Amino acid sequence: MMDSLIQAMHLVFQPQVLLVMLASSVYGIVIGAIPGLTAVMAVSLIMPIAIFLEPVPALAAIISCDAMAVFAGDIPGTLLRMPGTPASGAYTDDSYKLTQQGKAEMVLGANCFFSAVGGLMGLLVLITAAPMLAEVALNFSTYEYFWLTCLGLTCATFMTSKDTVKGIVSLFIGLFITTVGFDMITGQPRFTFGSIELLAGIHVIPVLIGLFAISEIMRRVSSTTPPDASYDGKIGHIYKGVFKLWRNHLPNFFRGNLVGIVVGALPGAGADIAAWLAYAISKKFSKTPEKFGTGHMEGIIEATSANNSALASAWIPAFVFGIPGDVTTAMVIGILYIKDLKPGPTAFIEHPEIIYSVFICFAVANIFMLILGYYAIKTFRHILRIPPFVLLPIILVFCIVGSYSINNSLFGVAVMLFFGVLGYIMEENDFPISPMLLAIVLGALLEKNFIISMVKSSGNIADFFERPIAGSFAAIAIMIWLYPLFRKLYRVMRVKKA
Amino acid sequence: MKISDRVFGVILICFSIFVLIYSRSLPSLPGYKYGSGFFPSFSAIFILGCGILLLVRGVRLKDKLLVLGDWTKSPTLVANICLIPASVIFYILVVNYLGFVPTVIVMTTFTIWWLRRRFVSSLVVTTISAVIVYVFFSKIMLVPLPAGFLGL
Repeated sequence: MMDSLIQAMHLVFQPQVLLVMLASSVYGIVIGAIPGLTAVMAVSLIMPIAIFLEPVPALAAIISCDAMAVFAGDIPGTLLRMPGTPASGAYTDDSYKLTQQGKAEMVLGANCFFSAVGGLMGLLVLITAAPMLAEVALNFSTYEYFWLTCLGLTCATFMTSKDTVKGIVSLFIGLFITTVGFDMITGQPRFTFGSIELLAGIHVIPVLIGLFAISEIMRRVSSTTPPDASYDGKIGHIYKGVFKLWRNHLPNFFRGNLVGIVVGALPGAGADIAAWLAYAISKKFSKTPEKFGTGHMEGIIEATSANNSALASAWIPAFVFGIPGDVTTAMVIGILYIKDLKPGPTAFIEHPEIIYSVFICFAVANIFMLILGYYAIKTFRHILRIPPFVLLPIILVFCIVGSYSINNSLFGVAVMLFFGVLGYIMEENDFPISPMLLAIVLGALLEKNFIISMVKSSGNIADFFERPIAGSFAAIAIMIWLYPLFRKLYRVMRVKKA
Repeated sequence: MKISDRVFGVILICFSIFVLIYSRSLPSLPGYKYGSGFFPSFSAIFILGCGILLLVRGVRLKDKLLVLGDWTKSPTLVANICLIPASVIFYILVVNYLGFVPTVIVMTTFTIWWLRRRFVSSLVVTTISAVIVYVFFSKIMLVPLPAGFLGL
């Protein structure tokens, strides 16, 4: 272990890796601080560059960019009541009310400090839980992986969908997309219609750039609310009194982290859900729930800790099982496969230095956050000066180059455009896009594990339930699938009784 | 822009039927009932089920087939949203002839000018950005960006 740790330190503490982390941090802060541009969009745009980097700098870039963008989303939320990212939306009203009361420094200091410490708490759990779970996962067969993938996709669909039917549609369209191209089992081309480009399948990177970046650009240029915003107030010393605040809100801090870690580790959930849930739990347990929404630090501390601690714990299912915890880790899994670093329990044996490098990168990114966050808050008004209508077309160029560079083909650009328009239509009509992306990442794994399991069991479905862990996963998954049906039946029976 | 669940229902039903028919033409593994067509059929069955549910829900709700968003009342915003796919299509059609840098300069200058109505600043920002992107991807990352007749 020590050897791997030392090797990982050598890999991370290289000038070029630290420079990549610094650059991605600044980039993440700029995108996160611009209202409407999400952390997912920031990460999806960094992917085309990450593909060309060595594995450690690539992962370091994604970690820093994601952490900074989620934190930076707090800045416009606090100063302008315009959350930079959805993860900051939960406590925007409280933050803004405190700004109106002249306490902007305190809130921003708390945002930065608790985000960084929350990130470190999540990292602590990642370091302790991931290797232990990996040892268990080493005994997993295709049956366990099949059910675990089902569970991940199920959670993603049920947790991110306001409308379950539309969530299921998104999921299965994603699964269908993974079937386009050569079938890896039989070598048979599927849904290629004679196209040579389609034989290799639909690559995940142009799809995610389309779904998250192009659709967002389309939404922003057609927004009826003016995109320009400004802040003229002055910001003083942001960390003044932050330790006192920490001491006074220790239960909120720990509960927020706990919620973030648990929600983050659930496949399909992520920082956004963690923040909203932590805020709701904070209100539920507060002695002064009536103060929530009027400028109360309890909810802010709990939710801002939760959204950053969720970022690290989302890597637990990604690393241990190869099942992404959120959209960002779904992209990371895509990168790992491209780099020939298959995620899963064997990763802890085959390339532990990469795993330890990720841990170190998380720590460094959160320390960067304390320093860069300070300057980001100070220079926020300058970030806002970047006119969105200049930035968006330039982001479009990055999207095009990113999609092109995957296979050096314009086909990737066309795929990006198709999924951009599809993502726009889907989101406008309440179809969640996260289940589709997760399905595209996991579809091949699901199909492979299913077919191999069926061949192993000579077509006997009962074998899928016989092993204890596989059976338990199956039971949980089936219970989640049937829950809406039982709930409906229960309601009908109650109405009939009444 | 809200589209009725009825429309989505019909589209999904047609799509899933097509996938089901296509999947039947795919061969199975020797000695097994399933093969290349199993997984697409499995997805299509769920899409079909959801399509029927959406269609039934839409018929029950009797909602309008299409409710246009606020942005459709403004011709400028309609043009803005169309401009994004149009720019990408322009890029796909032209880049192999013009080359990366000239195509990006033309495409982005026009887009920024359309959105902000400031030509000179659009041109300056775009030219600088295009050169930076070109140098970064083409020279540092070694991505063979389309060169066009100018070699750029």
